[in-house]
Amino acid sequence: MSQFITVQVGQCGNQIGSAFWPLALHEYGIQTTSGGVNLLKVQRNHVKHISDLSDAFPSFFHVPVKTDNLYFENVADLSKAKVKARALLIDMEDSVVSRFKQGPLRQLFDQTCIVTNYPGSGNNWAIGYHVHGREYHDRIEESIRHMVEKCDRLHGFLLMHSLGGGTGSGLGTATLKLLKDYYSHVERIVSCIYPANIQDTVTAPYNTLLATQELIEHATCVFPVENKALLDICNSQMNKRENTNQINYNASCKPFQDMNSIIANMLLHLTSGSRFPGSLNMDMNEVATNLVPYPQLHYIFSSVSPITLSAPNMCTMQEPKLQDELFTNAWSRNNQLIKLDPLQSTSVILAAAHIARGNTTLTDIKRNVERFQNKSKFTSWSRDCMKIGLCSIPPAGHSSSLLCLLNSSTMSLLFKDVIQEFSKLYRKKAHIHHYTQVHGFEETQFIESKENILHLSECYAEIQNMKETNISRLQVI
Amino acid sequence: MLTIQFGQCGNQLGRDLFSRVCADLESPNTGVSHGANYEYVESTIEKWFDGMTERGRHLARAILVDTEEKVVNGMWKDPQASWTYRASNVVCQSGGGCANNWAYGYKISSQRLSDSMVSVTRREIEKLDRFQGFLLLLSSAGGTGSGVGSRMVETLRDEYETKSIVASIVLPFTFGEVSTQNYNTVLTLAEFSDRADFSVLFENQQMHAMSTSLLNNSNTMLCDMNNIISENLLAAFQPSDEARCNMNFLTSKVAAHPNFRFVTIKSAPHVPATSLQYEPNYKWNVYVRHLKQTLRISKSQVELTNVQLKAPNPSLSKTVVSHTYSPCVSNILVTRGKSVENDAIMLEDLQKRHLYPEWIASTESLTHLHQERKFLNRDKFLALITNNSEIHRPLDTYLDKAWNSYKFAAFLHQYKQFGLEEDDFLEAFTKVENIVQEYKSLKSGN
Ligand SMILES: Nc1nc2c(ncn2[C@@H]2O[C@H](COP(=O)(O)OP(=O)(O)OP(=O)(O)O)[C@@H](O)[C@H]2O)c(=O)[nH]1
Ligand SMILES: Nc1nc2c(ncn2[C@@H]2O[C@H](COP(=O)(O)OP(=O)(O)O)[C@@H](O)[C@H]2O)c(=O)[nH]1
Ligand SMILES: [Mg+2]
Ligand SMILES: [Mg+2]
Repeated sequence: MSQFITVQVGQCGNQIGSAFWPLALHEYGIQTTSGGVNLLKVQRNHVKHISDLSDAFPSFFHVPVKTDNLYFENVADLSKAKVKARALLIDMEDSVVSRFKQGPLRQLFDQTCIVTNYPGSGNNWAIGYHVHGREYHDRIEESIRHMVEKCDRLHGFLLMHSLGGGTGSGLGTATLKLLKDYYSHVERIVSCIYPANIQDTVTAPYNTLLATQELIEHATCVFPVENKALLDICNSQMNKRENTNQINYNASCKPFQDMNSIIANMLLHLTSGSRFPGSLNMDMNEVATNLVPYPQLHYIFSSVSPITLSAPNMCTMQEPKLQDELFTNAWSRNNQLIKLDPLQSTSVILAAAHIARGNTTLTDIKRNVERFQNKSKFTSWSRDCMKIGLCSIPPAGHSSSLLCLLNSSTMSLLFKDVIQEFSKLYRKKAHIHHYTQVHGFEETQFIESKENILHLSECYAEIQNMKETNISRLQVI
Repeated sequence: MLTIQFGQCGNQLGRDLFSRVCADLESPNTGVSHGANYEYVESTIEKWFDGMTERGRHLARAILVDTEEKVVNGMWKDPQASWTYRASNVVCQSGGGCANNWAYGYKISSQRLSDSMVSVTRREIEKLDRFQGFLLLLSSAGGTGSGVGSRMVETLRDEYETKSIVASIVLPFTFGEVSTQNYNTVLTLAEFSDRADFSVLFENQQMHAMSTSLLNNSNTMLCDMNNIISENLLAAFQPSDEARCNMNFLTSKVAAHPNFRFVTIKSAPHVPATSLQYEPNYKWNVYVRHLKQTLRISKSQVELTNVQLKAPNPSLSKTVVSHTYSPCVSNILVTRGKSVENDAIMLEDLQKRHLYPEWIASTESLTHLHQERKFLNRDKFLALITNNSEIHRPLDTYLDKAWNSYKFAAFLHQYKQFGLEEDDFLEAFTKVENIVQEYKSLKSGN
């Protein structure tokens, strides 16, 4: 099984991390509590898979002593065995990370893998990328190396950060570049938060533009997320009366935690094929091969179904129907992690992956992929660019679930939006001096980034308008 | 025989295959004398196994190759089985898989694995005084089976020039299960067409359809499909009464012509496990005729006959429809079960000249192998190993889809990053186009 290192940068990145780790532990059957409240009940059925689960435990955790028994029941067990999360925590202010240091999982994080400073990056990408990027380069590189040395089958870095602020956006992308320089063969999977249009910070459009350019350049795959989409999903979860577990969970969450859990859940599903066995296994490096038909077109829509962390108490539907509903929900725009519809009628699908966990069978997935092919629009070559994966270990709380990954030309709208928001601000030349005064930053970087992103969004348009060509097959003589 | 299983598909299939071998060995209803069964069992064991563990479990003569250890680790999951693998025959480097990329498997992973693959292979062969040849199991859609398998078949061909290499290649569902499956398939087929003595092709599509329609598995899983593939392979490879029947013999009978090296196996009867006891026992000729019907080609697109998905029909002889049959380069019929005087196995149906091109001598067209000993408890089981023109259809489909992506350079950068260039693609395309063309232009006599 593969190993992964999470790299959580900035306030947002670390908050996503703080939702991720309890859920990761929960998946392995380890109960966590917060202020005496059980976050989620450990499922009874997890015992069935106990050996596969504990085999995969080292995917996210380093267990220093050689033991045969990788079965832990609670956080105290973990502390006793000196188990450490394979995580790098970076922030240039220390409020979130220091909460980690006091929280119930504090023992899980290695001090050498926490890089903090005060007082932040002033919501300025240039400060995060250039100032902190330069100053902390060696420190971060060392921390990563420290962790990489503890892995014997490292197959991916999972980066979590936001693009609107300064630290996650700037130092996050600087770290991404560092990973590419030092560990080019390891996948760099980025899950990043695009800011809502109603700006939380005035400079968010600048930061987003500059960071997006870096992600296009250096990431293996990017799974963009919008807070508005997460919020809508949370609201719909709260409206489902029959699912009291989920409602109780959301109610017990700190601000953002319910939203961040949705991302954590997606990442757990995304890595499941690399961690657990399955009859049609999907390893991490297969994501890019199957979903990225041309260089740089690696922004991917993601949706998980069921979107809840636990199943409703009662379910009476028959299995095949249940399976079909799983797929239908995954295709719905309401389950997407950004507020765009990858299947809108004017777009084309470049590639798709359906990764099922639990008791979904080959026949279920075959039937539904064929359904997908009938309802979606494709380029002349992309109709069979489908990937299917079957992982036999279901997520905690469900008997089966599905992750749908789509490379759709709709993504160009996200890029157009990034450019539009940037241009609105740049036209007024607002706040530019905050950036240009940073050593290492040139104003041309704005224009270059904009051009590159524009170019990418044109690539999608080009693919959408690709005409069938008549280059005939090779003639045999 | 030395089996080498590559990648997830090859390993899962191999595991099923060896389980079926054991099931066949242990099946109580042999239909033959104790002595005859003993002989069958002995030569089966010699063929597939290599000694026993301390606990009396047979050790498969197989090498397990993969780039991700999850699948290979699963091979030991059944402690009750009467057989197991030799742990030292695992060649696996946890590289996280070959990314469904033929180039990655062929250029990168194979380098990491090749030394140990070669030395484990040598070690296995040195133990044998009568070494028949290799059976390679793999899928063409992924990266390990296709890429590492392709490299290995080159290596084996160089090192063991005169030994038989037979490959069993699983072809992907045409609806698409891996985005790059069509490229990987074309690259794999091109490689194997030159190096393997012959390759047995299995289409997942077809296996799935057989499982749903013949075996009533409405929720067919991969293991059900592997079961069908294993039965087909074993029906062909288990011992027969022809003493000379080793892999060289099979090659000389079914793939004598270097341009025609892709065969398929049709078999009958397939009966749902639950209704095995109600299975009608038809005469041999009903089954032979049924197998011949599987060679039928549809005259129009509308009338898509897929006889493989139908049960044998005893009244077929009475219907006088003139069907068109796909021209065959050669066929081997393997019959397993008791043949008695009033139910003789008649070969005329499969010897008809209209099945073969004129340039095939009638003595070369059909080979019959028989085994009285029942196969897997079945009263009768038949397999037709056929080298015929119809194979051009699936190959043409993969080629067409691959070319369609290639025209737009889709996914090519994934291959280029590991050093596979346009020329390599074009070379593979040309090879497979040629194969398709050769098969397509086969014309039968009258
Ligand atoms: N019939 C059958 N096909 C299988 C099985 N497992 C995988 N496949 C097919 O094999 C193809 C995928 O290739 P894999 O064997 O999984 O790939 P791999 O060789 O391990 O290569 P990578 O995973 O890319 O490193 C698809 O066409 C699958 O349908 C199986 O058990 N039976
Ligand atoms: N989904 C989510 N978004 C967050 C969270 N915290 C901050 N954000 C978003 O992140 C952006 C601000 O960046 P922040 O992470 O605070 O800045 P940084 O610390 O300088 O990287 C805004 O778009 C916020 O809406 C969080 O916990 N979850
Ligand atoms: Mg695979
Ligand atoms: Mg594999």
